[in-house]
Amino acid sequence: MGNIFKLSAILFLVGGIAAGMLAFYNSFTKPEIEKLKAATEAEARQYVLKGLFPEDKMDALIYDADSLEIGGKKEIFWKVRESEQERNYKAFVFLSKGQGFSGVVETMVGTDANFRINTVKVLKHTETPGLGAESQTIRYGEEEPYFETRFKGDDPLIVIVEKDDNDEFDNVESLTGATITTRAVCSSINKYAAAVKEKLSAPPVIYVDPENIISVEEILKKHKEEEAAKAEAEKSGGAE
Amino acid sequence: MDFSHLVVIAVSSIFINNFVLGRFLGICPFIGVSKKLESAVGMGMAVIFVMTLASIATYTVQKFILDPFGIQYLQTIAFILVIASLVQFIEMFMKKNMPSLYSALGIFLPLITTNCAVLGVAILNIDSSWADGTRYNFIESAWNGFTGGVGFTVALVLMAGIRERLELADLPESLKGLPIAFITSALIAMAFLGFSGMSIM
Amino acid sequence: MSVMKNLTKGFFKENPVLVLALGLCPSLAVTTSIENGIGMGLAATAVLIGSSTIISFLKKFIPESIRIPIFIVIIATFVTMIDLTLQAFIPALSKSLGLFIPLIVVNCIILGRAEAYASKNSVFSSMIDALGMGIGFTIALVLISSVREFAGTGSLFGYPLFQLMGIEGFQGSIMMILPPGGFLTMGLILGFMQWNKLRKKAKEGGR
Repeated sequence: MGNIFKLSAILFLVGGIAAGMLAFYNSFTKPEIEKLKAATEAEARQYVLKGLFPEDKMDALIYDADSLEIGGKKEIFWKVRESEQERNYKAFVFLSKGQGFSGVVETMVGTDANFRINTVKVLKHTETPGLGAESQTIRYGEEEPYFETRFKGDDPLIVIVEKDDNDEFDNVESLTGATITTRAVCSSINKYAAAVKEKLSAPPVIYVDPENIISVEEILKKHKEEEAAKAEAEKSGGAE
Repeated sequence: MDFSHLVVIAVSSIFINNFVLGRFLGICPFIGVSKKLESAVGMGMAVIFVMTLASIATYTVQKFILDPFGIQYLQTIAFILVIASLVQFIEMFMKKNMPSLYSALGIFLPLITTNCAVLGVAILNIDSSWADGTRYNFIESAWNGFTGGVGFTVALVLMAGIRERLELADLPESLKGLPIAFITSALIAMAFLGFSGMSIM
Repeated sequence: MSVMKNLTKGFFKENPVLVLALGLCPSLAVTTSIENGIGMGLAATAVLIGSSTIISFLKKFIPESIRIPIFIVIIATFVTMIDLTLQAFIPALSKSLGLFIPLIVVNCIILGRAEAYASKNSVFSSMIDALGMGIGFTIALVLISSVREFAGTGSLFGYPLFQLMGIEGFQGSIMMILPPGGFLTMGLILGFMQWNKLRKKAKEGGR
């Protein structure tokens, strides 16, 4: 009996030391991993907008997030404007997800102001190497994945695989041996684009709190004060 | 209870993404134990048993210990210890209470601890998700373990049946034994490739 | 045995994959390209060296009866550290090796060497043995993945050989990158080695 106790104690000790070491190591790597994740998404968003804005403005773009509802779940998309001062949206970015051959395929899509695809980037997938995984492959000597170029200029609401087409849609040539993957990318882009279009054309929802109804004059006054304060800040900021 | 999910998991784990022939998990016992049909069946049964229980145990550990405390990085250690202890307990339990079953399956149990398929399915249960982003729930994970084991057994039994006949075949000396076993697996895997693209969603 | 012999025995004579038939799962799963093969080989070598060293260092303190669980904990610790390191600093490799990085912990090579060598030998020779076995594992992986990558896509390490030489039209058989290709390549390599062994035996027998 005592022997089992001693043995378990040793096992626990070793386990405890191991867990402690890993906790320590994890504290190093966790921030790196999270930084990577954030950087990858930001990088992908910038990537799909390339060419729409001048190079020097790319890092200062403002992404206004908005929500989509797809299949009962909340997803995010971004309306892009050039800078804080600029009010008009010049581009839109959304991340579409769809079931591919062996898992979910995530595609980042960037469109211009007329809602035509600028380019796409397949971010995540678990497709077969050589088949569906070719969606991310850059051919030797080229600069971008050849799959992405097939989407440029298309209307995201109606992209479809070439063999499924019946002349009403924008064709996308399928990946060799990976029709399912291509279909997944196309249909997910269609679905998400439709939701984005709907959100963009929907009238803004104004929520009126019954407890706190203030008069229109008060609202206008507050608004004027905010504008004045902003103009002041800009003037003093501009002087620096 | 989403039965369509269960059907999808079953068809996927047994045919489309067979654990041995499609995912390369469990190759060591697959090559090592597939010489005789009876031992293949015995190993298969043991693997189904362990994979199901391991899925249940590891899912519980993830949901009640690893996730709530945010220590997911301990997943590898925790899972492999759970599996090793589980196999130990099963062996002791079987020896005492089910001696007939023990004499049939008992020898395979220690081999299963280092079987990639068991740890593999445990991790796959946690990492897999459906198209809408939801992860596998408890029943789906246990079922995935069970059907994964069934798929393993199907491949194993197929191999054993063929290998028993190959013993009598006139093969070149250099291919006898392991080489022809691998080439046969290639052919079976090719056949299973035909299941890919099956539209079950 | 001498340090050199200890190191090089893992390369060919006692190659863990091709001779001892250990570590077959990753050998077939990640060898879809030479890059992946090298990545997995180096990761496994790191775990192998780390765990063999620690196990050899602690061999006097580990009770005989619970040695296997303790070996497993030590190996799993190193595997987790490598996994976290790859996720943080080489995410592309982490993504392509995927599930098989945590599966290094059940790689028979590592547990096998711990049991057969590290628990019975000095720290230094365990390190050398682990390094040799790891390099042998990497050699086997590179061999298998070069065959598969070339036959499957016509390129080696990402460079399309035929295209570079100006010969268009070589497509490669995608089958080689898929599971059947893995089994087939392994079978043919093992068959070749067996043929070689028999030929040597026949030559010696004939003398």
